[in-house]
Formats: sequence, structure tokens, C-alpha cells
Amino acid sequence: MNTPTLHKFLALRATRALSFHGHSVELRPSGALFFPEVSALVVADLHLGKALHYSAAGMFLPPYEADATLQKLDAEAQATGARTIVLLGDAFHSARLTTDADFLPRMIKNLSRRAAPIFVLGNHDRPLARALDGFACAVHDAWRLGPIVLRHEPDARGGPQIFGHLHPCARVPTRAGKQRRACFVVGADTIVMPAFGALTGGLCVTSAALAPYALGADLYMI
Amino acid sequence: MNANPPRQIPDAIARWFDRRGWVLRGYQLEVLELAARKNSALVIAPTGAGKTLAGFLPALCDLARGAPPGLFALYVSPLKALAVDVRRNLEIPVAEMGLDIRIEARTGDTPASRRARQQKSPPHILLTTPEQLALMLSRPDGAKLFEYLRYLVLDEVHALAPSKRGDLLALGLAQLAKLAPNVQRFGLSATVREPEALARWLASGDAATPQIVRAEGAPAPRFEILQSENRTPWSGHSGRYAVADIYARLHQAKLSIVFVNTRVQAELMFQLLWDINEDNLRIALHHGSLDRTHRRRVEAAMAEGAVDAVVATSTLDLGLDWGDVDLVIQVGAPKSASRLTQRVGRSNHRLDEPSKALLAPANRFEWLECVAAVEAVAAGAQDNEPAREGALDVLAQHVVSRLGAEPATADALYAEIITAAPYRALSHETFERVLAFARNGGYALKAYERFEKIRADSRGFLRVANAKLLTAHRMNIGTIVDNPMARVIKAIGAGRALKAGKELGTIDSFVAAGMAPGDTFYFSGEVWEVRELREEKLFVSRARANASTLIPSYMGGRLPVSESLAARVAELISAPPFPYPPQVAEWLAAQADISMTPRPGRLLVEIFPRAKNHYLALYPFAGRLAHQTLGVLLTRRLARAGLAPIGFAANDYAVLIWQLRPFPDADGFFDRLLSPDMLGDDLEEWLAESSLMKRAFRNCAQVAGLVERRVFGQAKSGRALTVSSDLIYDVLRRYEPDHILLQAARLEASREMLDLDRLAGKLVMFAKKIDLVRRDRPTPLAVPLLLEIGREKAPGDARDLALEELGDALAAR
Repeated sequence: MNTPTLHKFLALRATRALSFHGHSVELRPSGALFFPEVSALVVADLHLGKALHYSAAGMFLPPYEADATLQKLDAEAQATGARTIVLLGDAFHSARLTTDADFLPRMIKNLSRRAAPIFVLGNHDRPLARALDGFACAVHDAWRLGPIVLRHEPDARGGPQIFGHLHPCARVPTRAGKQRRACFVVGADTIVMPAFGALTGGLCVTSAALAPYALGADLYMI
Repeated sequence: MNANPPRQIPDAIARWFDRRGWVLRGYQLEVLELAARKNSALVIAPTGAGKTLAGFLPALCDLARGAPPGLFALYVSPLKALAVDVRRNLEIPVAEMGLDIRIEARTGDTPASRRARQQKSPPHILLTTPEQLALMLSRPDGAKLFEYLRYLVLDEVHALAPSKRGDLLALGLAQLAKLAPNVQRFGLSATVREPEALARWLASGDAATPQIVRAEGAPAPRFEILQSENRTPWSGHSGRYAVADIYARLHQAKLSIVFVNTRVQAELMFQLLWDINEDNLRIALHHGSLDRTHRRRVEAAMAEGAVDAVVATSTLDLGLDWGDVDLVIQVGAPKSASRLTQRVGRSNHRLDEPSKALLAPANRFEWLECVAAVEAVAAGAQDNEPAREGALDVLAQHVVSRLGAEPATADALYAEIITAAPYRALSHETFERVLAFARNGGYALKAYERFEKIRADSRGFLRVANAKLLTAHRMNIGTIVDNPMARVIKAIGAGRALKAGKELGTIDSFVAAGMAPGDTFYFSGEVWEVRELREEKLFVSRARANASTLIPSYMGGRLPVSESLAARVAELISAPPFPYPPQVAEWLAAQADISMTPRPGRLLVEIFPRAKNHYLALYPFAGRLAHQTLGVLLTRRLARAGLAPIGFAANDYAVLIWQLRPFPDADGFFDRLLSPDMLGDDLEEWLAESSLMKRAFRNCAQVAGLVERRVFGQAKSGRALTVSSDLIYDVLRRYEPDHILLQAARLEASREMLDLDRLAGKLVMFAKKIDLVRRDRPTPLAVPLLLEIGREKAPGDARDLALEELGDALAAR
């Protein structure tokens, strides 16, 4: 007993290559996903500025969160040599940081040095759309690769899709007791991306929102 | 009544005593005398000696002469249930005395509307908890609320003082001393080793040091250690071998309490007793995970004599006496003399007769511990509570509450805080850092100055920036951080029509998450089948036990043996004769023969091969937590030396490590291996990555208000948006490793999870005093540990490794 039969748990200790609807994808232990054919790095849910957002309510989270997340992203871009970086929604947690006069220009400049950023907008990103007006970078509601649609939130119409938004994590039984880790949820038609941000929490795969995608899926724990 | 009733006692109360035929005891009169002279007192008395009455008598006497229009006496207890029960127990005599006094309780369960009314129109006597007092003190109208306060009664102070809740209460006392300087304090305590230290704690806030008043000694308790027909096992904690003997004893008593040490053992003992309950004795179960209404029902049944025996954990250690218990059975190690005294005190409250207790050790080491504990109680020895340095996360919380109640300058605030006993040695620099944390996070990177929670005005007075922040802060007051829990709920119907029935209690949500529909487990003494896990709710229905029926494990409850008791055990086995039942005496004699018994002041180190592995057994007698820490640190050292350690096992007395390669013959190898310098870099390196530190950090972050307390049942879909303290920990450690909250977490981990002081003390004591024994097979003393192997979870360090095994399995696919 004691082992849920609903998913298969797999440890993602090193980059793992899969084939998804005719395209090769690499799941990376950082929580990023890479399409080698088009040299595109995909990350979801950076939630930059989360610390700033909470601190306005008196919860002073460490102010290093945005730097930590962007450094990790930069390292991934360098490691993969990506030509494109797809930010799959909720890049920013709230308007506080997007409206900061310095932050966004600096961030786009730094990202662009490595690769062309493409913003796919998420539910937290409405202020971002306005803030991005003056910049020469792509802003979309969805990004496509062959039959695969990449969005921030799942599309109820189905079809092969990759999305974030739900911050999946799972509790996995191991010899050292149960551990809670963020994970990729890989099903036949869907890949749910883990959140990439340094301070982003997780939603358990057994929760009502995630269960439809997690049932029978492979969970790659990072 | 005495021939000459003391003049302090008003007629109404004296008549009531007469009608009852009760006589005030000497120490109760002493308390009254002290009260009349405007002194405070620390009353030390065993359970059932009438200390609660002693604490309230001065207030009742004054109130009988005329009640003021406000709160007159405040009672603080560590248990909500106790506050409620004491109120009930006070109301009856007060009504019989014909006194016109309002008595009310205020706990976390009291509806907000009633609390608001209590604030506006307070009762004469209010019974409450440390958390509620902290809440009352965080309000700006505190001075008004406490205007008429004369008496403060603090119950079970021995249990409160050495904890974070005690830190919070001491800070509250310091604040209260300013608001209501004339309040007399009456602390009530079980017997403790250093009453003077407790009296100093009670005087927090520069109050006059209370006089120590002791109840007349009751006759020494009578102990018996169970000698079962069956063999005492080598290891394990269940007491399964002794169940038939325990059951037989239940017949001979009217009401027994069978105390065990953990909830798992409680569920198991309850099952085992019912399995052989041919005479249908009424046996009930009482532990902290069971629903409150279930526990209240068991307590009521005890009071009515409607049960014959109750299997209980520490939930029945403190608090009121339920019914006329005439037998206490302690199954498993007593852990400390003080704890044993407290538990035994649960039986027989006629002070002229000794309490009776039966000790049932669950294994051979526990036999020794039982003998040592009985000797210690007979000698009147109590266990040492080390002087406590106040927790910094609690201080951070208090600073906001305190400034919310009334603005103060930093200097005045510091001066007030260091009058609280646990913070007497707080340096000004540390205070400044805690204050900076409370203001704006206290980061080296000044990012949040515009959001300051606490602002200084032009005269240097600090205040909470706005009312909204203070309201949010109040939601977070308190120091108890619960593990996330899942509710166990009886299911009605099935499938989509499944509805929630009665709530049975709570279990660790990590345990719940590992269960799948169809699994069965023991809970509340019955077998349940999991039907569905929905969010944080586990829906279950009744089932039959099968071979794989689980007893869910719970965190906590496994205290290490006390230092003084462990020292007695070490003394006991150091030399023959070994005066125990034959099995135990033979075991020790064989050890003396084959190896040697540990000598006082020296560390016995044994090495022997078994199967393909090489074993190292150490006997520091330092308690389980310290031994686990030692196990982790030694395996890291051995790994570095290339000896390929595989694992370790630890109990209260010894540590066993096993590895693939033989130990070197080199001179001084073990001196170097065991040198106290392992508590330097080795420790830091391990601790930084350890899950223990993350757990400690989670506690501190919640108490200090860095993250919100997760209110039970509240977080449903919002989980993804809450902030994980583990992630904050990682970011902080990387960017600001000296942050005050990391320091607070470090203190908590070393104190409550690692027992570092105790380990350090032993390592220094044993430096170069090693008795090394090499044998070609396991020694008798090591056998219990060999049998423990595989029962313990891997230490925090092995977690990544265990996850990696999944990776290996993946690679092999």
C-alpha cells in the first residue's frame, strides 16, 4: 500500500529528452524546458516582484528574489545556447515591479543579450502588456510549434499543449520519507510546467485543478 | 476549618469551608498570609494538592468583601481546556458561597463577539491562555482593561516557562508590570529542581521576586516494575509482550490510566488491550490527534466512573483530575523523573496515602531506565531545565504587538524587554537587529524602507505604521506552529454523492497524502478504510483490519531521556552486581564478559564485523536527539575518510554506525574521529542543507510574521500563491546568510532538534577518554541497536540520496 497508483514518479536529476507530438523536448532540472530544433528555452511563472508585493503588506520577503530568478534564467540561457526565450506567463507577480522605471528596461536588455525574449501573457501580466508597449519584443497570447500550443493557462478545447499557471508539485514517497518537490506533469497531450521563480510555491498534483492533467501522467520531480 | 480561622478569610468563604467539612492546608494559609502582606508567591505542590484553590483564595477573599467594576483576577493556563475546566470548577463554589462575581473563560475557541464584550465589560475573573493574553496586551486600551487588576494566577508554570510560549508570556509580564504595577503574582508549579529560577521567571518585568511556598510532602509513591512471564524484548517500544500482564492489572483497579509515550503507541496499546478484552472492560483512548469532543467525552466518562481504563499520552499529564484514578501504568521509558512524578500524581489524591504506579518497560534498556527513574523519584531528584535564552522570532512578534499597544522609544523598549527573564542577556545589538527585522525585514539591501511596518516619529517614538498592519499582525499572534494537518472525516454515501459525516480528528497531511483509496489504518482505536482524499480532507469509512493495516505515524512525542536519568542508568550498569530480573542481569553480565560495561566518565567504543559490514557502537548516554546528530556527523566524517558508511541507528543510550570497509588500526584514529571539532565546519556544512533547518526556519518565519500562519481549512486553491518558507530559506542563505531569522532558526534547531549543547558537553568530556574494544562478533549491548536498524527513517541528509534512487531506477529502465 501507500504508493499512489495514479502517477509515475521520476526523479529529474539530469536533463531528460522526450518526444512530444513529433517534436523533441528537453526537460531540465532547473524547471525550464528546451526545444533543441528551434533553440527555444521555455520558462513559466517567474513571478518577479513577489517579494516586493508581499512586503507592501508587511511581509518582508528577502528582496533578492528577482535577481535570483533572473540569474538562474541567464545560466539556463547560457547553458542551452538558446536563441529564443519564451516566458510562458506570470513573468511578473504584480504591477509593482513592472511599473518600476528601471527594472523592465534592464531586464529586457540583459535577456536580449542572450536571446530574443517572447512574452506570453498570463493572468498576473495585464499591467505588463501596457508596460511592454515601448519595447521591441514579441508579446503573444500563445506561441506555437507545429501542432503544439504553448499558453499560460490550459486551453479547454484540448489538443497538444504546454502550459504553466498551476505550479505543479508532488509528494513522493522515498526511502527517506515523503518529499515535496516541484515537477513537470507529462501526459499524452499535455505538459504542465513547474514554476521557475525563486519564491513561487506549488500546488499539489492531487488538487482539483491539477488532477485532470496528473491522472496517469509521468511526474518528473525537480 | 482551623480552630482559629485566619482573619483574612471572610465569613461567606469560612462558612462554605465549614459546610464542606474542609480544612485549609498549611501552605494554603501561608499563601493567604503572603497575599495579605502584598507579596507574590510561587506555589510548589504535587497534582491534586489543591494548588489551584490556593492560587485563587486571595482573590476570592478580596472579592467577597466587595467586587470592583472591572477585571480583578487573571488566570493563565497552558491548556485551553484547562482554562475552561477551572472556570467551571470555580463557578460552583463561588455560587455556593453566594458571591456575586462574574467568571469567564477566553480561549482561541471563544467567539469574537464574546471576546469583544469581555474587552468592553470584563468579568471579575478571566481564565485564559498565553496567546490570548498577548492579544489583549496588543490593544491600545490595555491600561483601561487592567485598571482594576490585582491578581495574576499562572498555572503549570513549570511546563510553560521553558518554551517559546513561556518566552511570549514573560514578555507579556514585562509589559503588564508597567500597565498594572500593583498586581500580585501567584505561580503554580509541580515540583522542580530549581524553584529559584522559576521564581525569577515569574518576576519578569522587575516585579518583586515571589516567595516560594511548598505543599507538605505527600508520602513517597509506591512503584512496581512489571516482571512479565514473557521475555522482555531487546528493542522496540510497543510493550506488546506485557499486554496480558497489564490487562490483568486493570481488573484490580477501579480506574486506571495507561500512559504511553507517543500517539502511535497509544493506538497500538489500545488495539492490543481490546484484542484480549474478554471481560469487556470499558477501555478508552485519549491522545492529541483525536477530536476535541471525543476527548471531552472520555474525560467526562472518567469523572462519572463510566470507564475502567484509559490509554493516554501526555494529553492527560497536565490539567484537572478526571475521576478517582487508583492505578497509573507507565508503558515504556519514563524519560525523566519529573515526568514520572507528574504522571504518578494522577492517581490517588488522598495526601495521606501513597500513589501507586506500575512501570512496564518495553525493552531492556527501558528496564534500566525504569529502575533509575524509581531511584531518582525516591531520592527526590528532579530534572534540570537548562536556563533558557529567549527565542528571537517570539521577540520579533512581541515588538510589533507591544508597539501596537503603545508607542515607545527604542531605548525604553529595550529596557523593558530585558526585564523579561528569558531576555535578560539580550545584547543591544541583537535587539536592534530584531527591531530592524520588524520594521522592514532588516535586510542589508535597503529595499523596503517605503513599506515600513514600524515608523519613528520626530521624537523617536516607534509605532505601528497603520491599523491594517496591526490587524493582520494580531491574526498571527502565538508561537505554536502546527504541522499541516488533514482532517479525518467519516464518509456518508459514495462516489459523487459522497458527503461529509462526523469529524474524527486530524492526521499529518503528509501521511494522509501517502494514502490511497482502499488503504486501511487505525485511528481513534478503530479501523478505517480510505475512500477519498479531497484537498485537506480524508474521507473514511469503517473497515476490518488486514495484514497491511497501518498505524499512521505522527511527528513529535518522542522526547529524549533526561540528562540526569541517563547518568543514573550509566552509573547502574557500570559495575556488577546487576540487581535486575535474570534476563537483564544476564545480558549485562554477558556484556561485561564479552566486552566491558561502559565506565562512568569514559566513552565505550566497540567495533565488530557482521555479515559483510563493519560496525561501530558508541555509548555516550546523551539522549536520542544528540545521538542522531552524532550519527549524521560521524557518517559524514567516515565517508570523507573513504570508509563508505551505509547508515546509522540511534537510541537514548547509544549510536551504531555500519560501513563497508574495516576500521583502520592507526593509533588515535578514534580520538580524531570523535574530536569535538566535528561541531565546527562539519556541523555547519550539514546543517545548511538539512531539512531540520528548513523546518526550524518555517516555525520561526511564521512566528516572526515573515509568512502568514496557514489557518486550517483556509488555503484551498490559493496554495500556489502562498509563500513557501523553504524557498525563502534558500534565497536568504544565498544572499544574506547572517540574517536574524536564520540565526533564530539555528538556535531553535540546535536546541529542539539536535540537542547540540548536550552533545558538545559529552564530546568534550570524553575527549581522549575512549575505551576501545574490538571483537569478532556483535556485543550484547549492541544487540538492541542492531535490531533497530531499518526502523528509523533515514536522516535528513539521505533525502536527496533516496530521491536519487528513483533516478537510478529511471536509468535502469
